[in-house]
Amino acid sequence: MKGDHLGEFEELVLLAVSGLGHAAYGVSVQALLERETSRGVSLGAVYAALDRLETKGLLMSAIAPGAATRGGRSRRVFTATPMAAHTLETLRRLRERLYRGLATRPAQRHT
Amino acid sequence: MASVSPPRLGLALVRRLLPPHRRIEAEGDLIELWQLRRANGRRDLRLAFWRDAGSLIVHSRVAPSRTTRFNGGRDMLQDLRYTLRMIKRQPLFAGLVICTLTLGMAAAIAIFTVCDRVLMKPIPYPDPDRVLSVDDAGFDIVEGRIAVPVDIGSLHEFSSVGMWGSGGLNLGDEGTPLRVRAAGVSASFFPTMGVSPLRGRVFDPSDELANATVAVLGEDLWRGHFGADPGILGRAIRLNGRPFTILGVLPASATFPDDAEIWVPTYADRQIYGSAFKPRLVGRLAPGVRMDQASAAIARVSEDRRARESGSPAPNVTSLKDRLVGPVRPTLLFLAALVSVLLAATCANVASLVLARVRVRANEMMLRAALGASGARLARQVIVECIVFAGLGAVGGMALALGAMRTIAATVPEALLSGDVSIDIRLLVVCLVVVFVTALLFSLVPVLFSARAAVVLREGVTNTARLGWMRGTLVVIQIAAALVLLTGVSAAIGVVARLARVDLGFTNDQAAVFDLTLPRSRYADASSTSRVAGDLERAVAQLPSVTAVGLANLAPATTAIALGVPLTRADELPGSSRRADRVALIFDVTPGYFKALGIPLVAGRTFSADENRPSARVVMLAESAATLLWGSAQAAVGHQVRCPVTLHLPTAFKKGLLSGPSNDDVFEVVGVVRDVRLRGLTTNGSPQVYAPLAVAPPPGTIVLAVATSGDPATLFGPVQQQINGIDPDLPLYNRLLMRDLRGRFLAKQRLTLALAGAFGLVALALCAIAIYGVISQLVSQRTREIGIRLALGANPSRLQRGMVGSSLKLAAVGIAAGAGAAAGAARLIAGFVPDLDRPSLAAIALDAGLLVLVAVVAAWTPARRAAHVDPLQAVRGDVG
Repeated sequence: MKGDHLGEFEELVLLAVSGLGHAAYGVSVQALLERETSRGVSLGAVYAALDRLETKGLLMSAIAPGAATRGGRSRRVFTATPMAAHTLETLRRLRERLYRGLATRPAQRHT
Repeated sequence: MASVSPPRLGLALVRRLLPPHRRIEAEGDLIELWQLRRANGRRDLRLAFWRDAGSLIVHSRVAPSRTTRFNGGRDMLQDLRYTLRMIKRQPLFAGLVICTLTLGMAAAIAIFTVCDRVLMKPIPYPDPDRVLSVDDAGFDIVEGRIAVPVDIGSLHEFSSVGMWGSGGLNLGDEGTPLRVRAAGVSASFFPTMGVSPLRGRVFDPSDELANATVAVLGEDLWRGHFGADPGILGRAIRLNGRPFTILGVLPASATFPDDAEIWVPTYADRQIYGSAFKPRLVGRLAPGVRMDQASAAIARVSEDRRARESGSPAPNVTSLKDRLVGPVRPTLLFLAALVSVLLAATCANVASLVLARVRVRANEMMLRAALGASGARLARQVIVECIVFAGLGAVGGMALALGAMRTIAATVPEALLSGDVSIDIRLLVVCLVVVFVTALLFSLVPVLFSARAAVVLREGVTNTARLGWMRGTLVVIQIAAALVLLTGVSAAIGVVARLARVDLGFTNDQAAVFDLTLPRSRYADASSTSRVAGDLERAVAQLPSVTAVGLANLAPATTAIALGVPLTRADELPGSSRRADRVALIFDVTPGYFKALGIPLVAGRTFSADENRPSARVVMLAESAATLLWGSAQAAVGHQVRCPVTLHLPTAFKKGLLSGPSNDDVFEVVGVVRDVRLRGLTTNGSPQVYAPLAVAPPPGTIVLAVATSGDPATLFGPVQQQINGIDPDLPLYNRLLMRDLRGRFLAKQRLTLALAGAFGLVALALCAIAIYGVISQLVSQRTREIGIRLALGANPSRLQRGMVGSSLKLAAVGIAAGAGAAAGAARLIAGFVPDLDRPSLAAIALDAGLLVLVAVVAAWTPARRAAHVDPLQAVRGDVG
């Protein structure tokens, strides 16, 4: 890990890209996030997060040919780097530890 | 129902405001989202579109774009790739630059490093410039031991003061003993020098008693003779026939004084010093004390001492560093000057090569500037190029320098240069920085041109005439530098040639000399020494091929040491001769000595056989001593000199010698011989006085001079055999052939000369590269013109001559400048190196001729190319 902090939205974007596999690009990421979070997500915010994640070395991007639905314009396709998987795993474990702590505390209060 | 395609204005804005590499994807995404949402029947289609387009624009404005931000690694990599492509595209230019750098750096590094190693062994003691060396300070006797003079030892200017004297000892108890270089030192010597033992301990004050028999070994002797015996401490050895106990081992680097291999307490064995005990002092300055303060303090106490003891000389104070480095400093300065000139020539060469490409580069730079590259970006490209070239040059230079140094190390005698040759990092850094900065300065010229990019692109021309002129100047500088270097080499040749002609004073190339030490335990007085000397002489003379034999206390280049004694005319008042040049070296010789070494008689006669007896009152003088006292050699014969020839002998030896009133110091001069060079060709020795051996038989070291009708190299075995017949415990050592002596005296000068010659060759090569580069460039710049002239019927060979002529013009200007610079440099160098000859006009002319030849040869190939240009192609612009 580069040591850079991963924000909540960045984490969601990273999870979305990892989940989408090779089909992750601006539109698919935005659509997934809007569906799962049930809130409006701007394309600019998605790209801002994607760019930051790429700078942090968690994503790689490449240009792919575009379909007719985009007027034939090319897409920038993102894939997660091995470092991304490691980072996400670390974050998940951290969360789990913290949640376990939360679950045991009320029991202590009663004794 | 919303329209099929997204708002055109939005897409236009995105196209206009987003950076180029983002536009297409962003546009595609907006279109795709529009279609997707429309298919899903979203109502807020336009709102969502504008939100996305706006957020994309805002994001691209807020976040720095990838191209405008400095991306060190990636850009550098790009620059590096570009540079490598350039090298591939123009291998000649790159090759010449790298070749120049390699050659110049390798020569500068290798030659300087070797000279540095040969001339200046590293000083293995901490802060050598905080240690003072004091000669002629005398000594005191404290509680029965020889000690550092109390008045100097107690000075608060020093944190400690040590005493030393050097000489040799016979090491071993069975078979043939080994002769080792030895030093007698006080206990305080080691802490003063800052040496700590590798094993065991060094002396402490309890070891300083006159009967102390302890010794400290050097690491080399410990490894070489004792096989690095781990149980060496406490082991008993025999030195000059007496048992000694080993206390410790010193590290191999600590060989002060005089490459000592073994250290014993100051007065453990008097024979160590030969016939003279002349202790010297070393003192480490106390913290905060300056050298001049300490010198003043010593001068003060020695004034008092000299007032008490009339006749003691004034002490001579130098820093230890100066003492060790001083004699070679002029040569080092001379070589440093050569290295600087060579580096300057290298820089001029690189600069002229770089400038040659300015025209091409300027166009390229202007184009890039016009396409939006910033000045800093272009400068960075140039810097990367310089790093690549300097790096490649440095790698090549280091490899070549290492190879050259190995070759040099393999060819010079090991005594001059030990196996360890490594590159001096400081020198490498200096070379790299100088060359890099030069290349950088000149590489930035095209960047400056690019500042006027717009104007030039519009007008399509660029004026590089001034650059051509600059380049010419650089070539001129280079030729001038080469001439200065060559003149320096000529001067060095002059020195060696002159030294090779110096009269050594002995002429018999068929002679060999050997040293041997008579142990005091068996030869304790004058009569036993005289007797064994006579026996030795007779025994060796019996060998069939031997034509002459002589014995002496001293001979050229041997390790024997003689004491200076005052020398006056007998009719002069005593005490009027306390001048340094009246201190004479006493040679105690047998009559055969002069014949054996072939020392020519200048006036009078040599000793007769019956004059070799204790009561003889005859001496012989060397020419300079005779001239000093009576004005000429002839005038000295028959006169009397006053000279205490037995002054240096130990008391036991004086019994039966010159007993009587003080006029026993008066001797008649019976003959005058040529002066003999003892230590080297450049040093003029003290006046020399010869006395019959029996008058003052040398205690300790004795020199055997043997002349043969056969090969003197084969003498050693038979002579040793003859000696074994008299005393099997007398090893011969330091065997020396007289015919090798001149070479031995000249070894360092010859090496310096060979290396200086290498400097000259490299400078010539650099000149050739530069001239070749300039003329090549000239040809390719004028290809079109040449083509037209050829098409109009110009004579190709005349064209070729014209090209060579341009090169000669540059050479002429360079030679004129170089001759002036060489004369100036000679005057400057003469200040540092007094022995160096002024370069003669003939030598300068010869060197200039050499440079002209190089100019013609270097210009020939490109000039030939010019003469063979195909006019049609040239006019079309396909050549060049």
